[in-house]
Amino acid sequence: MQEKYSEPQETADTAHPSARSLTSQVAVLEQELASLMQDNPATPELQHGLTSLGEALDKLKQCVDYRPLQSSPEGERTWLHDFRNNINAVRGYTEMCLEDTSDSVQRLTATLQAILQCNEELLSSFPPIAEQTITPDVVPANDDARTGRLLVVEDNDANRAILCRQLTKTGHTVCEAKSGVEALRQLEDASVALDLILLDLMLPDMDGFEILQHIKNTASLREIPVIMISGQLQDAEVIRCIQAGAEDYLFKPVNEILLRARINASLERKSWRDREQTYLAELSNSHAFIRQTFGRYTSEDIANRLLEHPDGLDMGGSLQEVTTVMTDICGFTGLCNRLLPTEVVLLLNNYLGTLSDVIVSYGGTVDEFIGDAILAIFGAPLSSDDDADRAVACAIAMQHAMDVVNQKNMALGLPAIRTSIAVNTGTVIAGNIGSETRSKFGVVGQSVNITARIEDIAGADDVLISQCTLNALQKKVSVGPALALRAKGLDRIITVYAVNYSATPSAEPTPTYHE
Amino acid sequence: MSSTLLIVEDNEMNRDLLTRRLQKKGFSTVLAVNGVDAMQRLDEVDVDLVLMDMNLPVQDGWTTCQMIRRDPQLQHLPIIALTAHAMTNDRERARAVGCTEYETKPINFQQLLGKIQKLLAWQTTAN
Repeated sequence: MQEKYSEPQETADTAHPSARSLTSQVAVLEQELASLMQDNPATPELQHGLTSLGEALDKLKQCVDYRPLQSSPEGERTWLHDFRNNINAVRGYTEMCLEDTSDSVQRLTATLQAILQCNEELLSSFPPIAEQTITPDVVPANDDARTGRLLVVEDNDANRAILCRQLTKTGHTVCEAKSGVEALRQLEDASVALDLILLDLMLPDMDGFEILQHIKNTASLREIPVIMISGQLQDAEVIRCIQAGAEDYLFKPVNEILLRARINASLERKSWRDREQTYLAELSNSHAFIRQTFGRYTSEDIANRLLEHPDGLDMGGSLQEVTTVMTDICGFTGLCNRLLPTEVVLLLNNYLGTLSDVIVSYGGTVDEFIGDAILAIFGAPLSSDDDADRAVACAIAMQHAMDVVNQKNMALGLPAIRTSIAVNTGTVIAGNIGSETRSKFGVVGQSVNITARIEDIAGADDVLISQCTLNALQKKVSVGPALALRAKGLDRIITVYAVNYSATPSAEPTPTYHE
Repeated sequence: MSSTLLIVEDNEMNRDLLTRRLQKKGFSTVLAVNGVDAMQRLDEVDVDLVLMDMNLPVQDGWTTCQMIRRDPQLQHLPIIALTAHAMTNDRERARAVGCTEYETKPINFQQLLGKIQKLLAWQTTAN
């Protein structure tokens, strides 16, 4: 306190040379008032006004005398606020007195006007702080100046007044409570966001420890740090409070430096917790984002189940029977040579986008786009009995969807395209493949390679399925004659069939996966 | 019938001063010492206009104005912000939280009176 606030006579040597003239101006104001009172004004109303004016002048004098010499921007702002409030009172009471003074009492009028003038001169020596000095809503970058909204619970009037004054001068917003009941009432008020509570252990109506327990047992209050203040120098008491969740402990008489340091530290920790809360909220937002994004490549049902069981996305994999579907645009390389790059991208996006929607609607997962090819999986990450049925139905639906693709292409002035589709069922390793930083859910195994080989021989508009897929089907599908496929890298002959899908009624997506 | 003004001000002297001067001009006054108190008064009494100090304990005037503007019953209530004008951007902030008018301390009483009368006249016309 002593080094920060100076007595009036010392102010001449300080950073604010105007402080001395300020003090003397207030002294002039008081002299004017004293002579004014001697005039023994007539009406009780005027007497009342003059008394109030005297009080207002006292307050103004105090305010000017105790101007902080070195203070944080926040402290300076608080002082200026206080100062202008006092100037306001002096101006208001003087004007009121002037209204109550009849013109005949000339001396009184002249004195009051002199007071007004001094008051305005005083005001003009302290202009408002420019906006850039400090923005009120932004936490100051300098952590020494961290301020917050504090609740002081202390029954002793003098102690409470001193504490509040110290805290206000440091730039904090301070609420007071004289008793436990009052403290609880203030805490119940949900609209008050408190940053810190200073709690006296000994209160007339309640034990400070009870209040501490109440705070720590109430979800909405738990996060507010509590610093206990007590006259008792007992370690056991300290331990009891800290165990009950008190942030810190101070003994009376409270050392101001220690108080400031502890409050700063508490507010600092709270600000980190607040930031953590904000971060968690952001995380929850991004969770929703993942759900949405993931939903583009897999059915929302699967995305939700994955998010609910994040261990399902651990690195590593499992052996699973899946049905893989691969599509390809016929003559894509030729198209690329004829079209502009931008046109190729338009065409591809149209094709991949439309077919992805179909895959997702049948409960499949789009595993990969490989150039103009799509690899879709049915049965991983989550398997069900009708994986093969849905995969074949999906393949047929994709061929039907080519009409939609081509209508869009024509509208854009792009050529019509045709696609070939291969379906195969077999055991694969499914899991997250890649490094910790970059990995994706996928399938690997001979079965996937076989799908690609079948795709190689599939022609325009074809849906070719392997013997394994045909065996896995629960519903009957009309297929053509068996074809033997002997391909490079395969150690055995694969039997494949072309699905007669134009004869098959366009299957609806299964209800389980369709919304 | 005289209009009722709610004065929200924590500084005792300024509260007393405003009350006395406004009563002299024929207004009824209701007092509140902080934002929470103000919301309670607004709940209990029909008020025609609010004079709100912005720097208040417990709940400041900025928050309180926003709460008033969010309340369907109160959203059209005229609010005159009173700030000590310690900062040059107080006026913009007051506008941002939904205050109708703005006066800085020390208050120019005649000017404040003019604003009160103008806002009350508008309200009467609107009703």
